[in-house]
Amino acid sequence: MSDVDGGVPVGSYSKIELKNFSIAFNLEDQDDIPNIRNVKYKSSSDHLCCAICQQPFIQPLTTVCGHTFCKECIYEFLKVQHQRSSRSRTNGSDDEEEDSGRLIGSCPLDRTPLDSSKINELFPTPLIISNLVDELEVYCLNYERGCEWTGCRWELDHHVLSDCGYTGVACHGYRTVDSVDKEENEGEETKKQTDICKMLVERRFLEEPRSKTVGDGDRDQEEYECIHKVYECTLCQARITKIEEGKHLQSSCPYNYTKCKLCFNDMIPMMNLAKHEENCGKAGHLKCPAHEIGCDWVGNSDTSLEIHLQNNNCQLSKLLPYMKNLNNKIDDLSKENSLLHRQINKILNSIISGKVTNLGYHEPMEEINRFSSELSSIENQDKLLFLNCELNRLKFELDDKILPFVNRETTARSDRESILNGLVNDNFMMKDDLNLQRALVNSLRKQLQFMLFKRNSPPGLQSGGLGGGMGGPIRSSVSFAEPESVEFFDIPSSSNSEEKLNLKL
Amino acid sequence: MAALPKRIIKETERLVSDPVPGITAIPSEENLRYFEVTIEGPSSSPYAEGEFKLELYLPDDYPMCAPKVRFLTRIYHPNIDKLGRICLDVLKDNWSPALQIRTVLLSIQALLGAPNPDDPLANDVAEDWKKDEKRAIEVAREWTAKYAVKS
Repeated sequence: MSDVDGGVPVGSYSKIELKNFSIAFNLEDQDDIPNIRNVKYKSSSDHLCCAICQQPFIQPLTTVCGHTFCKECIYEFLKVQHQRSSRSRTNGSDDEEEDSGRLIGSCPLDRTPLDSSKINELFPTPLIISNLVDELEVYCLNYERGCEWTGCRWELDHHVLSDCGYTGVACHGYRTVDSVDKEENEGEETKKQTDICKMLVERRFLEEPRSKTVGDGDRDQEEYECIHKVYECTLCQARITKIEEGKHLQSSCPYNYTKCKLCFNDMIPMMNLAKHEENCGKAGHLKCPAHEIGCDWVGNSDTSLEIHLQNNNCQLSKLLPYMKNLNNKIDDLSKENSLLHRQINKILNSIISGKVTNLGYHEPMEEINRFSSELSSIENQDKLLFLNCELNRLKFELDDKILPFVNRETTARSDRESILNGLVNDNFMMKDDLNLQRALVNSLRKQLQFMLFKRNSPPGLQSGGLGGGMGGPIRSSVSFAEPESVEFFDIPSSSNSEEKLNLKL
Repeated sequence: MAALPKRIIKETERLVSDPVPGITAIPSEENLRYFEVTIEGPSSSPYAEGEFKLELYLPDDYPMCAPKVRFLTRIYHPNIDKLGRICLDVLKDNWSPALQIRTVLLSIQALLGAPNPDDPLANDVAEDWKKDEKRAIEVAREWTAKYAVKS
């Protein structure tokens, strides 16, 4: 980057492009997600590497034979194997796979047959393994741009998306473009046009509030000026942009003076300061070792320094070790605190998005085979959606229409049951009555037979002559009803009628 | 050309830093997927003392597909034909992404030590081998001395 660009007039916009490295991350869209496949590991262990990509596992899955691979790797291989085997099986005839969501292949390490649709043959790796790989130390994705961050792999997302100053973001700055330049549009000669800069810049060059609102559509456009705008350095008149300002003042502006703390010369350009201080030290200008915590003493020789440190002349230098210790502790604690903070945030997020269900598996069980069903196109997804709707509809119908009916049925049935019970009771009573009646009739018949027998036994058995005069004594004795006597007339004619009577009763 | 997968970079680094004894594999400068390979004949075989040149190319879908390997030096072997093509299961159907360049080259070295005339690629050689093994081994030794001279 050459900062003094003589050809660019002040007020125009420079075309400094963001340096793009192979893995550096640009947040162009709010949904951009850093790809951890590209990450550079600081430490790694062969045991935590996938046999296929030979990188630490990403979303690992374990096979029934006990081997572990990245989800992406093992599915890719199963897909290749599946295609190869189905091609050789169908051998040219265009026999389409009907169950394309299912991948059948074998383990790359020991050729154990695997079926991706069976959860016990290919399943999420125990959490401890995922945790171990997520704890591996990695460099920032933007390390080639100069970011010095290192941390656990699980922290990387957060760092790159919201902390890292080297992440590329769109400038979105407000530009004024002189339309005089555009000779073809003569009507607009005098007007100034506004424009929004869409070039990518590293986030650290943007002012603080802007970096937070990047991506929001309703930003106040007047607020920010495009940082690609070229202006003159107030000290040396070199043409610079905001992107180059810091670097320019630090290392190439000849008039950016600063004061040397050793020789009190305040005409040292910043770019030469380090060299100057080195020379100053050689020339006998010495600082008190406690200068970091505020001792202003400056001397010319080693002996004066000794005198300064002896005899309790410099109280601060005595505090120095203690202060340093304290500072280190504070640093460690604040580091740990921020780490824990992020850890909690991450866990909370994953709880909210429902990822920590299913015993902490990285994703819900039913999601696991989603990867393979992607192959079978959107069609299956649509079917699934339709089925879901249908299921919901049926459930609603059941709740709304059938259940009340069933309820009504049950109440009606209980009613009927009570009626039936009453009827049964009635029935029993009737039966009892009937038995009583029968007993009565039986006793009557016996009496009747006895009397008949008595009357017929005298000599001169008359076959049919049953005179009207006969009825008198019987009626009086038994007080029989008239119809009974009619029956009684039939009896002598045959014993059948008696049997009939018995049957009837 | 698309960026080189990390796995290939890692394998290349390891081949250079920790080479397999008797095998060298050097990536070509203009195409990092192309390797110049030399394999020494196993000591107990008729190919002993010979140094065989091979070429190895990693196709775009490596490691999902096997690397393409071919002998450049002429060799008298029932499973290697005149054009240098190799009949080896792991280079064909039995490829697995868990295999690497180094394991493939070791398999080829092992094939030199154990020729398999029952599954031939060079039919004439295989027939000679079956008919008169001693004679065939003698020829292999002659060819090794003639073509596979160490440079």
